[in-house]
Amino acid sequence: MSAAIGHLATAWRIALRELRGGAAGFRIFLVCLSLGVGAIAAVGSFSQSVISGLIDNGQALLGGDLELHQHGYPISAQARRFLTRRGELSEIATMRTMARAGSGDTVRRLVEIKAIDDLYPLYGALTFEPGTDLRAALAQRRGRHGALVEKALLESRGLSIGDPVQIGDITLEVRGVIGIEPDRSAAGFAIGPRIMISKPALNASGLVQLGSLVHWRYRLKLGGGSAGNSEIAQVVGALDAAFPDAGWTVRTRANAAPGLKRFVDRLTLFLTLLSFAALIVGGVGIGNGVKAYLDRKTATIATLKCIGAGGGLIFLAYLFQILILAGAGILAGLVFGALVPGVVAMALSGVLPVDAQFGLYPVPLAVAALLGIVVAVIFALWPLGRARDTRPAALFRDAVDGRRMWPRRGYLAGIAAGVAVLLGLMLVNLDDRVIVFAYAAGLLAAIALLFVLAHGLSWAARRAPPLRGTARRMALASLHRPGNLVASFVVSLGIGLALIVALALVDSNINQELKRTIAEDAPSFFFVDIQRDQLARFEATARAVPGVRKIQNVPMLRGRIVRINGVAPDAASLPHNVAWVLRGDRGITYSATVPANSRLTTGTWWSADYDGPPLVSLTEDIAAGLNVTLGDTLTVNVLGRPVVAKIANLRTVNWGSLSINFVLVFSPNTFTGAPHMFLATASVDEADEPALQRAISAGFANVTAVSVRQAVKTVADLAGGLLMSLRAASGIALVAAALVLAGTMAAGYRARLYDAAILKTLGAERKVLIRAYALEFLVLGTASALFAVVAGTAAAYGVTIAVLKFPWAFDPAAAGLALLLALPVSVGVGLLGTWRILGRRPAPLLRARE
Amino acid sequence: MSAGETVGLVGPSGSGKSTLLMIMAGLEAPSRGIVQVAGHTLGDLGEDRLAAFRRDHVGIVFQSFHLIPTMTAEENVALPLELKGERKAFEKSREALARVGLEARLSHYPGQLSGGEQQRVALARALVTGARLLLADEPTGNLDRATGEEIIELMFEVQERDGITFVLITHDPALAARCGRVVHLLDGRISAQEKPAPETRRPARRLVTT
Repeated sequence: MSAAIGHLATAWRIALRELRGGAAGFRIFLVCLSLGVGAIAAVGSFSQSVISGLIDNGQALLGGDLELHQHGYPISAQARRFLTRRGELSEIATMRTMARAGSGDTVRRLVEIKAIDDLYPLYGALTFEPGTDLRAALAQRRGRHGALVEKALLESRGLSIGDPVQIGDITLEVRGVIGIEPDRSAAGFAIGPRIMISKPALNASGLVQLGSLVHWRYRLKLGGGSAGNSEIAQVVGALDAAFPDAGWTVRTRANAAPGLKRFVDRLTLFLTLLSFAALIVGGVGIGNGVKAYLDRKTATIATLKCIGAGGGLIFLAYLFQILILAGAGILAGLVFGALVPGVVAMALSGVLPVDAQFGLYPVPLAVAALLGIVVAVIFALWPLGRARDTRPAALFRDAVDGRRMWPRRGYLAGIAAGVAVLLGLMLVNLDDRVIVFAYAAGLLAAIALLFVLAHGLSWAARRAPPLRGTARRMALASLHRPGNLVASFVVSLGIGLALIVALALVDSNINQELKRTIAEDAPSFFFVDIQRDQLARFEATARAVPGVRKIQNVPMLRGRIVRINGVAPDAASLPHNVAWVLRGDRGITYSATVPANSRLTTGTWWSADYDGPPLVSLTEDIAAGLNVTLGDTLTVNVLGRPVVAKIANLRTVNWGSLSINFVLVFSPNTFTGAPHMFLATASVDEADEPALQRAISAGFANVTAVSVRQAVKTVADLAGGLLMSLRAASGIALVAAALVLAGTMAAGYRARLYDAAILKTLGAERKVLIRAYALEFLVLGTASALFAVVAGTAAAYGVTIAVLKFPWAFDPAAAGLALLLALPVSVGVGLLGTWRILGRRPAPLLRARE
Repeated sequence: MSAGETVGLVGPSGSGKSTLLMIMAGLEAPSRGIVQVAGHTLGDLGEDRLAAFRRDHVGIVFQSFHLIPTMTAEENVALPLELKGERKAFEKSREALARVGLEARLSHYPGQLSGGEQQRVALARALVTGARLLLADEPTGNLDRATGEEIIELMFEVQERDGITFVLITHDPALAARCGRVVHLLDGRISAQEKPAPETRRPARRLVTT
């Protein structure tokens, strides 16, 4: 034991002494490592700070310690009594509707109404200008209810404080502009600006009809605001027990903004994977740096062996040096990673719905550091393993050790173990296993393929017939001579370029999909909350507008799956792509015939006059995900009533059509007599869109129009922002690749320097040398680019089909443009590294070798 | 080769002098035959046992010194002792450097030492563990004549004082003649052996105080 410690201590002392020589050859090593670790640490810290913001402000964000959220109708008196017995209860109603400025305004604008009670907000504070008294601001004065509105509404309508705004059947008076609305983000995705009114104002507006799309939210403040998590959990448990089939969803302050959290998690996943690719590309630079360093240390290693140092001790001494240097690089990366969230937050202030909690987050930093160490060790093990086997005979002559030596099996096993540790770290930290596995497999395959490609190139160059011309011969020779740069060049550049190509193709597919849906038969408008008795008049009004091509309507109810074959389902155990169906209530419909855009795959559709027990049609993928089939039953809570329906058939749906599609379609008799609204779509020429909007808003104050063009634009803007951040992350990978190239050049620098000196002595002109280098990089760049197109396309295909679920189209222009931009930059950096060689005068070099 | 013997290895380039030296040090394995040094059969030892064997029994001096550039003279000499786990490594290192006249150069790095001084450090390092076999591969090849002579004197003095076995590779016939036996190598074989007359073996002058 003490001998082993002594061994370690000796290795450590040797390592420290060896480091006195400085970290000169380690610049690229350090930058590659800090870049990769920094990117991962930054992404992790940022995501953690947002999530901490969500948790710390959970009460204010949610508006209570817990919230019951129900669509379409208020909770029962019994449920209300249950809640008021346990704490302070505040009731909020939110809905989308159309508003116009005064009666003279012909265009209505989609707004988000929020009707509050006297207790709002239970937590946090609402700010508005001018004034501080919320009740007074919303009170009825001179026959008009007050309203607080978002600035965007005033700006878009040229309104100011004191002006009238009309919603439903009433006219409101704008009394102030909302500053901070603490629970805004919890309500989810907002399309229009907020109008905040009192509960009596909402009742007077006539907008609330049974079945209209009103979100009822019940917030509970427990124990005067000091309730612990266990107390909250207890209330949730009691609620579940008392109302097992309730149609509401319950959220607690710990999960105040699940949509935002899911979004952050998702973004973190992709950004982390891209940053990790940068770290791996940097790993090639790390390996090169270690190899170059150890090459310089050959004499020292051989000397150590001659005076009695064993291979194990030498391995340890140099491993310690690598670890010390890696520690420095990682530390720099962590400092960067810890600071970035603060900078990003300043840039994003106001964009983020919550104030992110900035501080040091040890877990993401530790994960980034660990990833950095493991990657450094993996890439250092190969050269270290070979250094261990340095022959002491190297001291006796200047022997060129041309044989390719594989490190001992132990080192290869170490590398394999390191890869396993990396995969484990990724799986523990990122929640989507399928994506992590697919990513890891893709990355490993890409690296393996690139090595095969590199060796293939060298092999072909070795066997190629002699070329005419000095430059060409030199270029060919440099592809296969000992210590050639092919492998590190092709691996780093190949991965960097492949990421850029993949992203460009995913980008182009998203854009094409968005364009396609607008261009084809996608409707121009969705009209929400049409009452049954308005339906005929609505259709007639719409058809009277010139340019309107198609009007479709479907009945629309809200329902939540509460039981599957009589058993409450466990959403947590299901994959993302299925779990959403169980999350809260979803739109449901009924139909006498197979809906458009649907294709029956199993079972038969019910007859038009079917009058038996309720039947339901389910989409095939969801049925598979829920593990149900024909004959199984689903219990769905609709308007507070549990409806048990038997699965009669399965369908596939073309979701891309942007028309009205539902996962669950019931037989019409299921909802006979149930109050509900209709949802309509209208296709209209772009020029006539405003006319249609005017006609409907003039005749139907309660009907909300959602412009598809506007919604697609919102989605496209969101996607654009997302792609920007992904591009930035893959840009880091490309920077790493360029750095590795520069490092690769530096590694081959000494050999080239000497060669160039001899060639110049022999009379080679500088332009011959330049041509030779350019030719070499052209071959390597082209090989990497070809790989990038193939691998990038494969990756983009996978993401488009499996993650985005869009139809795939290869866009040669996007791929080509990405290459055109990325290739010259990275190879240019490489050439810059070589440029210095050409300027050197030959004499001093030749002397130094004497 | 018996204990305490001095042997000069001479022969043209490529005759196998360095290879023989490496085989004696256990740095290379012979393609045939058995090598026994200080009771150890080298062919029986694994890599780490061979390293330990060199540490305990063999000191090597190279033509180009091969000091570790990042370590001071004192650290270079202490290194084999440290590898051995010796507690008083630095104390002994200082003593060994004093014996070769370098007590004033302890904290100098190899780059700050002259060629002759570097070779003295190398000699101190070779012998500091009490090695009984000293192997020198053209130890004066990189030194000017006067400095080279100093180093050679030093080696022979140490050999005489401590009675160690000394194998010297050299191109210089006069130097070889200082040894008790001269072995001529040609194409990997011993082509001739001779025992120089005792008077040629006498040192010119004393350089080291003991």
